[in-house]
Amino acid sequence: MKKFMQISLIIVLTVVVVFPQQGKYQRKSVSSVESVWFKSDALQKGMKFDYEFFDKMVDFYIEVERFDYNVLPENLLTDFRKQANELETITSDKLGELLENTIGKKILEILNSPDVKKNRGLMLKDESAFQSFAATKAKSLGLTENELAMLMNSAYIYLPFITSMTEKIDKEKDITVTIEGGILWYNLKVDKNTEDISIRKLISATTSGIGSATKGDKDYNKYKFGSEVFKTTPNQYAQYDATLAWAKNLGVKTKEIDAFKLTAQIVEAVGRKYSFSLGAKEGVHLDDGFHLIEIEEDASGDEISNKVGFMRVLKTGQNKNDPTAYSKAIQLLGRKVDIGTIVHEHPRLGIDTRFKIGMISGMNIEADHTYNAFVGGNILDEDATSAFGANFSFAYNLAPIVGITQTFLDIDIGAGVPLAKYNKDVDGSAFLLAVYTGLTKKVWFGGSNVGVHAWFGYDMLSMPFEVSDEKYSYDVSALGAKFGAVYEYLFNPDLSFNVGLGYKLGFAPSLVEITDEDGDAVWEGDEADFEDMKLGGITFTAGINYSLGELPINIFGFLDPFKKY
Amino acid sequence: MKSLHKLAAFLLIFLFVITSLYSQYPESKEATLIESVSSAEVLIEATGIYKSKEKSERKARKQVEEKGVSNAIKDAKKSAVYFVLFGGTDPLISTTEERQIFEPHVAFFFNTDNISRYISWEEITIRKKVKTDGGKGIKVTKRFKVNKEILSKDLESYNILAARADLADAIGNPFIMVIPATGKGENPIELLQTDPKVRHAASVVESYLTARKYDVVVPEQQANLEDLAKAQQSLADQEEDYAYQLALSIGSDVYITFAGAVEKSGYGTEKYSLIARAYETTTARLLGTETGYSQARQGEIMVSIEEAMNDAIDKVLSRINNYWKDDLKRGIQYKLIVSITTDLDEDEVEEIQFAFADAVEEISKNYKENIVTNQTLDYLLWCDHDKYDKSSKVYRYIKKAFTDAELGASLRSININRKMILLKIESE
Repeated sequence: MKKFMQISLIIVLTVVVVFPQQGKYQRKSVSSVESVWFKSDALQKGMKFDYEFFDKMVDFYIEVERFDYNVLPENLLTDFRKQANELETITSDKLGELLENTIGKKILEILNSPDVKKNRGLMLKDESAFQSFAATKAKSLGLTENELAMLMNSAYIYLPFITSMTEKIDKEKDITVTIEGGILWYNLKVDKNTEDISIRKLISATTSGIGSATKGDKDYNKYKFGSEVFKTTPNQYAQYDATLAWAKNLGVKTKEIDAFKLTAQIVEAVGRKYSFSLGAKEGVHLDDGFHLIEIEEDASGDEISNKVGFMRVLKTGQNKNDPTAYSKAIQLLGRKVDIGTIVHEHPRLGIDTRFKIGMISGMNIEADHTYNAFVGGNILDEDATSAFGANFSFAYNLAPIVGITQTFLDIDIGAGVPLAKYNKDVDGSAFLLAVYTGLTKKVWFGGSNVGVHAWFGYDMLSMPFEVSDEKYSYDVSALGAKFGAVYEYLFNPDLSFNVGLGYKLGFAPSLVEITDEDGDAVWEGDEADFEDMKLGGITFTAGINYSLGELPINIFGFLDPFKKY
Repeated sequence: MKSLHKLAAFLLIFLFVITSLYSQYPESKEATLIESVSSAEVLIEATGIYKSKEKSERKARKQVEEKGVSNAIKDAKKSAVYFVLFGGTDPLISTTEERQIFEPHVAFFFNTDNISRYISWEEITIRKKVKTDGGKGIKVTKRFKVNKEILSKDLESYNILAARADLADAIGNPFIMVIPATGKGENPIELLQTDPKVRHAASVVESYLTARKYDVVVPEQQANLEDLAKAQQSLADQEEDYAYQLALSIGSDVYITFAGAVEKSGYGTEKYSLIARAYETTTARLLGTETGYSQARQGEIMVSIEEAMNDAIDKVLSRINNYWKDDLKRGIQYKLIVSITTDLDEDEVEEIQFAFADAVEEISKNYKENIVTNQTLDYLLWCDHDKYDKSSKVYRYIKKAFTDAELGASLRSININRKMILLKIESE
């Protein structure tokens, strides 16, 4: 396994082979030769790797609907592994040669099997093939040389690899597992005359995944993925979380390979709404983004492709049984286009991240509310009615689950400072912290949208202080609810600017306590002393929204298996 | 009078300018034949062009974005029809005369309604869409099925093409014999009976031609060629040509021979190529030869044969039609072969030769003397179809002329069919 390190060093990320698809996605045959390859010292001592869960994640995120997955016989895989381990040095080319000699022929056999030809043959035919003599009068749908060329050169082999997996435990209870690694993709080429096979590396992509858990916390005794529940220890939980994030990232990176990007032609155009011939069979979901591509002849007569716009899926074509069920999309960016324009997938995680700064006005934090005997007085010298802060949030797109476009499940973390004069005589500070979750629904108008949200969560007035070099925090917490509207303007398919207006309904504080450095309560106070404290008010925000293609941590990954629209 | 000439010239120029300005011809005229799908339809890949006439660049681009594709598709449809009418090796309109008759009807043939009638299928997806001239123009390539049959009927109804029905009324539909091409000494009928691929190819042509209302025969049995051979016995150096002799003995106007070959292609597929040759029966003159190809596919050889034959026969048929139209103008063609007995002396033979020459000159609008020897006379006659629409009428006339000449010999028929009159002269 140590040879694997050499592979990963040799591989360069930027090698991309572009396959012209002329507005039609051809399905690919995909095979895996190994669950996952490890560098010999990749696993930190004492760590055990859960292959079963890893395979499940790879199946889910990499072996997606756009591929036909070939099952290779175990004896061939054993041969491959044995011979690979006998190699003195491993390079991606040597690995390619080995793949040629061990499993290449088997894949060719699979491609030549009548079942594969029958099942994939129809998909290889274009519309005009059904109008040809052979398909009309002679009733033949046998594969022609061109179609066979597409079939024979559509086989790919992938190999996930891990360069390191480490576990870190803080304060003897907070576990963090980090996985570093990637995926290698090879393309099998079949000579049309001799049927000789050659395998060449297509791409190598790397990513990382981080998972965490806390020892002793019952929440980490089971890991949920869709409707499946896995019994775990906290260490396993952290590993599962990291594995999920890692596999999900690789899924996007795989879809980003040009040969695997879904592509189609616009066949209907009404205003800025378009239909195209991709759908559930290829794994298209609601709100998936597609670039609009047009070919233009330049001054020297060469044809160049230009990205002229961007659209988002409004309705997924249920084409598993009905090949004429088209997906519908609405154009968000660029000038209106017409039929024949090519659509090209823009793979994303389905998670947006937002960063906003803003103000809240109408709150009530009296100077007395910040009285702390340990620092010898009020932290604020005057009452605060407003605050300045920043929010960071993740928004998971629920559209493929609920069937309503642009519906997001948000998790929002905010931090701010009350805008008031601080008491210079005391050594302390006061912060506002908030954690909210809720739903957002966006309604688009061309390249901009208005999103309305309803969130609930809690706010905290936090006043850290030190006694005898020990760190403590005097916290007053209150439940809250947020409602608001945000206007967003799309700069490009991933980035938008937003401004928002909202109202935070702050309830009376429900918890007053002093916590130590570990977050454990060391003292509890009386909420009645803070009954006139109000952490809500009118909010004004401005910020940016970015659609993620990679995220090392897992956010709402357990929802992914529920995607059906 | 002079001013009338001026007015006429002005009107002509005006008409020319108007026709040019509002020409209904396609802008692009770029098209390729993909396949003959059936005896009536062809699959064409055509490119349409749209260029905005707006001077402002912004407006021009906008116009192309708004209606460029739909207009380019309209132009592509016209290009497809244009190709069937004028393009390729065997267009429907092939002569200058036909083109001249067509010109005043351009608007009819290229108006949107009629184009829609001729296009029997349009591909949903676009093969290629390319913006040109910095976005002020657009080119779109698409596939269409054009119904040649409807188009031909419209051309006939405007008297641009002579209707097949008219031809049929005049001299009967061309009678076509179909036979496999064979090597020296090989018997085509035997080949037809023993090789299923050959049999299939022959039946494809038969089906194709009958669908277009041609009289077709695929000889099932060895015809009696002895008489013909005897009649031509003096032509010692004439190569043995079964197809020609069969066609003559059957009396077809045209005969088609075909030969096919399988060619290996990529990924274990096979491509079938088929050569079809059309000949004038009376002279064995080659009218046209075309090679058709099938797609390379695995197995399904019969489908490939049919596909290749469709491709070849469609092109060859157009040559036959052109020949037929030309020949019709000259009259009905007959081959007259006379075998003269060796019992006669040279003077008597000469008298007979002169008498035949006179009779042939009188009966025909045009004739060609192929062979005149002491034993054989071989003529090609083109007779007025109103008077001599049947070979028996020609025979009757010649017989009478021969008898009236009192040459001391008797004329008898050996074999008379619709194309050939085979006679013998014996001493009395």
